[in-house]
Amino acid sequence: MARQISLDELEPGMVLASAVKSKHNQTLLHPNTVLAEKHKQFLRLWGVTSVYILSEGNSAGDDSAAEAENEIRAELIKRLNWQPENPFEKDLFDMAMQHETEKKSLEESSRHP
Amino acid sequence: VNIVKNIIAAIDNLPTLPTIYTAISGAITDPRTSADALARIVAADQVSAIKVLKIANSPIFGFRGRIETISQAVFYLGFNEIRNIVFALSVMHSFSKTKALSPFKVVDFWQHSIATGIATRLIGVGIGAKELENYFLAGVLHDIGKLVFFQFAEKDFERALDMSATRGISLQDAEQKIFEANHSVAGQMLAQKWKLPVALQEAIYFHHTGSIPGKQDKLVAAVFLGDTITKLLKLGNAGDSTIPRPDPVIWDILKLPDKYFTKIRKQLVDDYNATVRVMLYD
Repeated sequence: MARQISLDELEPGMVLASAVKSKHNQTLLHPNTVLAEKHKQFLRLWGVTSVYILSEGNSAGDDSAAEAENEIRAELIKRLNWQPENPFEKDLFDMAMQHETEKKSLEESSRHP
Repeated sequence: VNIVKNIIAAIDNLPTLPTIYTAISGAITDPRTSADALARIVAADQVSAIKVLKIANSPIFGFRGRIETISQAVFYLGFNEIRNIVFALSVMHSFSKTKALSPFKVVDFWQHSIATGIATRLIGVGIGAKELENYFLAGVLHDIGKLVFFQFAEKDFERALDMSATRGISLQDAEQKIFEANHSVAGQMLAQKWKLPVALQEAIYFHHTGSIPGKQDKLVAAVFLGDTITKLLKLGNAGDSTIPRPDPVIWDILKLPDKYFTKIRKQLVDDYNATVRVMLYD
């Protein structure tokens, strides 16, 4: 599973769950980047305030679920063309994530009854 | 070519609203009108009466199936809410012969409008809005200007839809290039012709920014977010897929409860499915 953290919570060794984009939609860092201290300064310079990281317990069986979630997240960010920052924007984003995840799992279960 | 003048001419040719709406509005402004008298006006139009009952019983208002007569609907929902439901139905009826354009069908348009109405009302509920009855109607009507283009400039409107899709720009920006005016302007003009309250005219005119310069307007901010939510959840089709970031002033104006959007999502989708069925298909 992915989880959103603020830049201040970022610690070296954490792994990015989704790409980090600038306000102008340029990709700053790719998914699965292992973060180092220098990334923190770099992201701060670009005005990024939060990122999605892979949370623990993600290694073995959860891989496909995490991958599916990352896909949904990436698609949503692409549609929005902006990164959620304040708590209201994050809540809007979470609402859409839940909706898409639910739709996907309904599609899955109708395919494998 | 003065395009705005053409839009005004087009609006002049649009149907006026059915007499039932005028009759209800007139009755409401008369302080001597009783609930029974209002119910009789609604009940006289059988088609409206049945739909009004179904909508009054839809989950939006929380009375689910407990309202059996128009009198009860007037009693539970109040004069203004009933008037606004009849109004929404009248508008949908007067545009029912609009034909579909290849990238955009009228039924998609109404689905998006109804969804925005429900989402806007839920925001109104969340902030404890005073004139809650305006929230559903403002959401339903916010994009009404698109129907003016739909009816009277279908070729050019199709170009605008296409331009928005291929260039990734908002529909209103594409309309601005082609018509030198966008659907919020056309919609406000139509609302003026229909003599809708100023609050509703403003909600239509300012729905792309969500705020009125120099004013703290909750309804306008709620309509902007209602529109954003339905686009995010893909309920219906607005004709374009851009989702602009809300102006931070909107959060200051509304002061929504914590995590309100994730809380209302399930109810919104349920209400949407039930209401679309009643308003568009039954």
